[in-house]
Amino acid sequence: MSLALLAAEGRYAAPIMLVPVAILGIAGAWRALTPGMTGWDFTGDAILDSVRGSGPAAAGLTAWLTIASERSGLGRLERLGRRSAAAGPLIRLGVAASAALAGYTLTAGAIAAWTGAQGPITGSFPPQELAAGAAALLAHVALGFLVAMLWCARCYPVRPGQPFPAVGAAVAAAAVPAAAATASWALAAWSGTGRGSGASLPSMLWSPDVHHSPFTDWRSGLFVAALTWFCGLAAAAIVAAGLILTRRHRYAIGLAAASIVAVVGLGQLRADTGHPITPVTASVVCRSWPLEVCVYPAFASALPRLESAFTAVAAQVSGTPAAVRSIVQLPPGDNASQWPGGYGFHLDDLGPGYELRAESDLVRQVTGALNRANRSRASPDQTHLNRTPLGTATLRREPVTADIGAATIGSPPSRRPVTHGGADLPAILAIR
Amino acid sequence: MGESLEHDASAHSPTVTKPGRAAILASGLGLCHRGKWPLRSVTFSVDTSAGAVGIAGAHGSGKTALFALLGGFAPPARGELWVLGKDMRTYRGRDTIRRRVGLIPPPGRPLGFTVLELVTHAAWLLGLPVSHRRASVAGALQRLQLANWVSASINAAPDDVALRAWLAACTVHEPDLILVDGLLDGIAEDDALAMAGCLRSLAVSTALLVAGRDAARLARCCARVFTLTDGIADGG
Repeated sequence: MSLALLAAEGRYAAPIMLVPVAILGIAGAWRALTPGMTGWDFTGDAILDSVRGSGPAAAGLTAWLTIASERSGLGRLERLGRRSAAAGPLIRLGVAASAALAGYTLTAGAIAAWTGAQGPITGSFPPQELAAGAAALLAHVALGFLVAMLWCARCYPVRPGQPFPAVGAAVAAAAVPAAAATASWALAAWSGTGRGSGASLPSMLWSPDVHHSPFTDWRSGLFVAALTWFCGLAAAAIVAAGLILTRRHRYAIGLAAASIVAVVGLGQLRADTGHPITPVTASVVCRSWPLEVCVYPAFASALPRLESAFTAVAAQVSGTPAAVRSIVQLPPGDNASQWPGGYGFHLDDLGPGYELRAESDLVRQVTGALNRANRSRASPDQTHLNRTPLGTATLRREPVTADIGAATIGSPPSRRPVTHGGADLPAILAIR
Repeated sequence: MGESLEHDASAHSPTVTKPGRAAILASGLGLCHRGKWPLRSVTFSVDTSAGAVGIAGAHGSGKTALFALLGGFAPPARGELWVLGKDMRTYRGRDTIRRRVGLIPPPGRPLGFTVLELVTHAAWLLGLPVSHRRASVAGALQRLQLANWVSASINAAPDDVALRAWLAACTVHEPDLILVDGLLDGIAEDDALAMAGCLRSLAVSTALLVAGRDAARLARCCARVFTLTDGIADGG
């Protein structure tokens, strides 16, 4: 190992790689964080998604640094030595990859620290997801290195007299996993595989784009498959670059082996991204007083505010056929049949105003229950009265305008808007 | 001295006898690369112990190809070549010469390196044993008068210092034959003068061949300058 090369690269190339990767990674991960969700699994998703921004940047920087080294004459010097012509470039690649991984580690550390500062955190840190992200970043770095080597091989004939077809063979062999990936991407895009799920095949092939739901878990093996694919891709790119540099046949064997690993990973990935998620196995978290409210574990921190919001609604319909006894959070698309006094609500994240959204969902159901009860009791004439707007507005504690009141209870129009805080709901309900 | 460089008009290469240890002898030498013949037919003999030899030629005339053959980095596609007593048609001959030759490519300024790091990295690339590496690096820096510039960045150093550092890096293993390719091309006149002085001092103790585009610049450091045109040596 050339310590002089390590020192020079560490001083020059490492900061150029580390700083942008860390900044872009943190920005990308921050953007990918699910609003209000502080579970470790969401943190893992965000860190993995950070590679979407930092990966292409790392590839570009690696290619630029490699070409700059070649153009500075270092490549010529290295090819004339007694060492393998690939030794120097691979050391430089190692420094670049280490710097990129350091940037990734900084990203993961920053996001994890932010998550940890939010209070009690559900779930466990997902090491497979983190490893898949690191491997994806390495694959980007390796592909950038390969592109640079191809460019340099075009610019600088390595050794006069050597057969050029070796470069062509390297390119062809490296193209195998890339072609397979592209074909799978096209097939998936055409057939719609992976759409609407947490991780689609096209997005997993190059830059991971995963969307974790609080109601689902990742299928075990998904990230192992991604790890296999990215490791195989990175190894194929590195070995192909070595083949270009040295024209030695042993690199061709390594390239074939790496391509097989990549194709195996690709096959696993294609199978796993068809159904990447499984229903979450964790039981719900409940709060029973003054009202029973149950949510998924990732929403546990929202229980006090949800309880408060739901209790206000429940107090208004207490003693009516629509009385609220318990409320359970439901996964998206699940409209479970209601039981007497039992309601469900949908909430996908804890972004600003989440308690109002949840309350609105409950109000809609309570209003429906009230209407059904009214229809079953009242005469056809009374049923014809449109009570829904007033009832809904009141339950939502929205300002009720005189027009709504007139249309609903037939009172004289009034220009003064009446603001309901929910306390006078019995008066409204008295029209039953 | 006995140098001669002549255009080999005939298609048949004359058989040459094994030359002396300080000689380079080529007969009908040709090199094929990527389907082209950058070196078509060169016949010459040089006694490298009699001072530096210059090879002038325009861009694409075959200078780099000739040095690739002389340095043992490629086998001749046709003809015969003997360097320092070794037959370059054999792998063993080329391997031996590769250890004894210092091929200096067109100069560069590696990014991020100091003068000391560049020479040390070159010593590692050239396979010098760890036990000798420090002494060899110190010797190369001393020979090229770089002792005061060891910690200077190559990028920030003056042009002549960067050129001498490049020269020191490529000769840190104290080769028996130095092949300088394009070192004097594209640099300022002052730097060319300074480098010519360096090359003259190197030629005192080591066989030296210098290739470049400008024959006048080569003449400043070489006892004899030959011309290479379109892969064919046609005068000297």
